[in-house]
Amino acid sequence: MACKDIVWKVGPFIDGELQASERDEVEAHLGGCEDCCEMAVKFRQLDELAGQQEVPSVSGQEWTRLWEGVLASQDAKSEEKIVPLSEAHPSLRGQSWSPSKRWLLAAAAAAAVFALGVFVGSSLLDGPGQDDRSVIANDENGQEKAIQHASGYEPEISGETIIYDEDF
Amino acid sequence: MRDRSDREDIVKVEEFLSGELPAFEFLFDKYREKVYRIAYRFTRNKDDALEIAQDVFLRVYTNLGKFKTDSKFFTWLYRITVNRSIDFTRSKKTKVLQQVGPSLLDAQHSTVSGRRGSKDPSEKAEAKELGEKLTDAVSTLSDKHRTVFLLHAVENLSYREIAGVMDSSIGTVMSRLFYARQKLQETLGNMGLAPASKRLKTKPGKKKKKGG
Repeated sequence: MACKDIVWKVGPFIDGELQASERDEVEAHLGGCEDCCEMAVKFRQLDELAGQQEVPSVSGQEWTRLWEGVLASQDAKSEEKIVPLSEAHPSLRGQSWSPSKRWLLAAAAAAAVFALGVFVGSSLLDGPGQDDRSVIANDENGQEKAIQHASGYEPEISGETIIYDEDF
Repeated sequence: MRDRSDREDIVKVEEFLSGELPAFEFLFDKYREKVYRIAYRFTRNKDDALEIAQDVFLRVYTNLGKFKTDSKFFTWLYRITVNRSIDFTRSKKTKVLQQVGPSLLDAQHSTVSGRRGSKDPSEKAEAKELGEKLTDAVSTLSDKHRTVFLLHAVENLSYREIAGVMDSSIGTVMSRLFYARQKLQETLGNMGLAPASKRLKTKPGKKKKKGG
């Protein structure tokens, strides 16, 4: 077989990526071809050399800082996106949810239940209060938002490249 | 087909999406070194690589809901890492060129030319220099060629895995790797630093390390 037909397979050959039949074919060619054999050796040397280049180690403390940075950035991002639900478009709901904030939402829900209790109690005594009712409505929506998101709602991400579909 | 590591990843992804933060911490611990290492290969700077790693995990945290669980998690993660690394190096390169201008490139060229005439360097020093020059040469490759070469030669990913990361065919990976290697040899050859030619003595089939 001619070099031009083999040359493409030299790399896959040294990488162990060829099927047995092709491997035998390339091996037979390399045995009698100085140029292709030299190419194979050089390719392998390049890989070995690249693999030997050291990467500075990262300490446990640095990893901890990085992890905390991820969480802090996520929290900051969520804070930026929090919009009063009374003002938000329905399609935007659910964007600010994050697992680390679930306890906050749970607390908000508990507060809502408590406030509802107070409201109902005071209504029975004093009659309805319009302002109180709007606060309760917002809190209850907040709770719905969390449930909606946890059930698989996918937020749209604006202003960022969709990485998974990015073409190289 | 999924191996044990892939299945474990998917379980953790699903746990995280149902609200369990420790599942994300598990994925972070499992892949942080790999993400950092890939980023370092592109940037050649520890602080920059750590910055990219943080950005990558933040993006994963934010976008995990978009991950298709019929794909491999590490493939998706590596793709984000490569994308962020390329973006970072592009912006950095632009800044450096704007700040320093062509004189830097001239200076680099004269340094390389001057080193060609070095007399009798020890084998170790020679290997080190060759390694440094290879790293320089890798940085001159196009993004596509550099990515394939680094994922293969440094991270030991299989062609199939690289194809997954780059969303391309195995044939494309083969072709890019071939051109990357050829270009690197050519560049090193022009520097007078090409690896020495020897007969192939060892058996083919480099042992593969799992990407994930």
